[in-house]
Amino acid sequence: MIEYEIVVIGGGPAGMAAALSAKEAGISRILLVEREEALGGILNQCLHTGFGLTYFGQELNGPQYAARFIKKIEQSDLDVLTSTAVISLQPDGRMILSGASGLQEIKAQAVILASGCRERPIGTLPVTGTRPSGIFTAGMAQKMVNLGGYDIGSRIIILGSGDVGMIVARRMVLLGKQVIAVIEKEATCGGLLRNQIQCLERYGIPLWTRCTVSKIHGTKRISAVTVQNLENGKEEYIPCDTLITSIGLIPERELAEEAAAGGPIPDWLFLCGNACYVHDLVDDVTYEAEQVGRKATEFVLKVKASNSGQAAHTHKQPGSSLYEGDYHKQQIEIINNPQEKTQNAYCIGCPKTCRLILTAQGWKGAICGRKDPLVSIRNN
Amino acid sequence: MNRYDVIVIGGGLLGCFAARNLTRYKLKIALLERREDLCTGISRANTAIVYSGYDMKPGTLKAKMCVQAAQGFGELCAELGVRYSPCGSVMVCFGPRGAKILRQKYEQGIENGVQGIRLLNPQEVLELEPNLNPRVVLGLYAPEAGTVIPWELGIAAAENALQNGADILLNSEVTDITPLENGFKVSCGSQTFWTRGIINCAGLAADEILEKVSSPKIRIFPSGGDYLVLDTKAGGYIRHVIFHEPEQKGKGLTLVPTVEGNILLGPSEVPIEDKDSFATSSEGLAEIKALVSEVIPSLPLEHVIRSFGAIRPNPYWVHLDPLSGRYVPEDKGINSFTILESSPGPFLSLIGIKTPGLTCANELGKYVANKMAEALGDVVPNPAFNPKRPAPLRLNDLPLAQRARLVEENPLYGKIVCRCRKITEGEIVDSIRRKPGAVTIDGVKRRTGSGTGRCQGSFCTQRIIEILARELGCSPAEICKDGKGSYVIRNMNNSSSGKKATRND
Repeated sequence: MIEYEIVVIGGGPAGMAAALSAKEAGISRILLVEREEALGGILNQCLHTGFGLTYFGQELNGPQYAARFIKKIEQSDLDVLTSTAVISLQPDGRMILSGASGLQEIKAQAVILASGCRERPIGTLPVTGTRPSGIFTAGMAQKMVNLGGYDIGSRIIILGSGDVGMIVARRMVLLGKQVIAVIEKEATCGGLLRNQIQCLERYGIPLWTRCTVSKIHGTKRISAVTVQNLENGKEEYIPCDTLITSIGLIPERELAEEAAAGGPIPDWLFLCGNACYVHDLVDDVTYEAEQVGRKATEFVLKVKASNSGQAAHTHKQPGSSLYEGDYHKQQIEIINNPQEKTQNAYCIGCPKTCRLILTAQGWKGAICGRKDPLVSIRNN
Repeated sequence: MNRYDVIVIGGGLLGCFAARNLTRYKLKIALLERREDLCTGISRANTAIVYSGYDMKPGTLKAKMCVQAAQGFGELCAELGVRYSPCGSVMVCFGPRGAKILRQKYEQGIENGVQGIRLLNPQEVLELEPNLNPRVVLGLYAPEAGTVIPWELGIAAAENALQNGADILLNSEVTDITPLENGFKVSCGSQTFWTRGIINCAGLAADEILEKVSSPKIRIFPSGGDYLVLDTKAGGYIRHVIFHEPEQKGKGLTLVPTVEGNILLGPSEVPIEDKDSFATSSEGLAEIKALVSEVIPSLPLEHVIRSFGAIRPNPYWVHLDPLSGRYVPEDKGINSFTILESSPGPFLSLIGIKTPGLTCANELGKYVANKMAEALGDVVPNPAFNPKRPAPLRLNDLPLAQRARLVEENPLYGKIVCRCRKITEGEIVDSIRRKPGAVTIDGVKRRTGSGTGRCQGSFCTQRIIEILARELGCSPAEICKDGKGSYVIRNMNNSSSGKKATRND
């Protein structure tokens, strides 16, 4: 079994920044694992600009933003494994990696989970009707169009006005497709105002608020949707050949759940990026991930000092005296991003003190996935 | 050439098992399926339950077959290399009407010879299923029930039939059947086959097939059912198949802890008109949710990842209405297994086989195969028949060391494609290369489970299309989700160049 001080799972913006900052902070044995063939994560499929405004003071597109970090990683002596997935992360910090080069068992003193998020599938909504082809999530459509170079349809309905949905709507119009409408159940746009203006209004894409898709038609390829007005219940049959959904992103942290084995998140496991909570801006992800990288470093060094080099997690239980107090405080610092406009709400259910954000469904963001986080609102 | 002893029409579960059991005899057999793959109709969407056999009226063929089938189901699955979860079932009720029915079913079960069946008091029920509504008044436990993946079972039977010499002809829709002196001429478009006997397992179209040679006696009137699938995160929430016997008339809730660790919820029952429409209805889905709050109120419905619609083939005796000139159903539907022998023969039809058709698939297959052999007369057993079908590799089920060895031999077994289910490229390639192999995204899904996890294919679909195209030697634009016309990619190239997007944005 190969041992590392820190293993970073996920080679997107969060994982790359966390790995680089841990390296800078003095950790020598770091492994960065990425399941795709190249580093960069979702940035690779984001051909639009708007990245790097705060971090680099420059407007970049996704691949450009990623390239700056990839270059740094190539210049460093970080161990990087691409085309490799972590298929298991056990409560004792052991993990199993699967890649074309083989199966490996690896143990780390600290693990940074930067596995991003996934898109909420349409099956989670009470949309009735058939299940034909031609239904895509926004990120999936973006990847197929931008990286695959595929033409996925020409008369398009977009369900949900999340940022990815609006960006894809604009992309489709630029490719000469007809975007019939972006459909949003709330009274206002779900994504950033900037995207509403730059992606929809500038291209004349209609935004139908207080509406939803109530039924899907077509047995082979989608042929139409029924759009329901949520104010008056009226339904309209709209022919289309493609439905793209942008109905929410869900942090992908099943590995953390596996490691937690029903209990709190182990103290050697750190989450960052969209695996922690879904961010609006990649610049924020980078800032936070850098801090998480430094905190993981502190953890490794501290445990090393107090245990004379023995593995951390075999000795430390979460919430025990060693980390209470300063660990608590540091965590708050990590997540206390000055640019964030939401309240400073934290979950005090465990030493991770996750920063929470208020959503329509209540407080979200506890990295252990607990449904009702113990909310504590603090002043700076 | 194109001459067979027996042609089986329809490649659903029943057709696959009819073909498999026919290969126990020295016969030249063909299975004709109109679609590009097997198990795409009723077999693809149902409750996935192996019933223990207490629901059926004692003395009927259905009761006898079901009890026998349930007892041998583990063995059948082992033979065919199919995953089976012998989890047992608990039927529960919340009032006197249900309790009365449960007691009747218990008596019926004893009479039918269902083993291990017993009535449970509320405390015993809650010990088995702690998350159930504590207001439960009575339970009926049946250890021999279980759950299986219907299409996995059907495809395994078809592979086994193929191994034992049957021809499986896909994309072969029967357009015409002509009785001849000693058999039939069967046309599939421009292709013609001659056969001595026919077994009609055409599912929802079984009546239409039969009517190509005889006048209508039975027609199928489909009804739909809606189902919800919960993520594996909710998987441990129940341990047994749970049947709910409601106090009001109507269909109760059924909960199934699936082989792959999900929970399947359903079904509601709604009448439908279109035999090709696997649609869900808002009434059906709402009904399921209302029932959940009664039966298992804390079930984490936030873990729903998919809803789907199923079709049930309800057979009715019909008569010609002289006024309208149309065939109209008799009052009551047919509840027993209907195996029609029509003349000219031998022509056997399995019509409107509903629950427990999945449980009894092999038994029904055996039954019609034996009947056919008898009717043909001069038939001898096939000494080379091998009931065992080599199971496909499922890496998640293997010990780590074995898994590592496989990756060393074939690196594709290391490449995870479906991240939710952790399905590797090697397993996907296998599913395409097996005979009969997957040719669509749903075909890969049915064989490997890819795309059935919590992201519902949003990460892996493109990759699977590309692997299918590579393996089948075609363009990704030719790969369909589920049969002709269900394309995912319209064209290979975007209609305008990509440079616009990077600049103008």
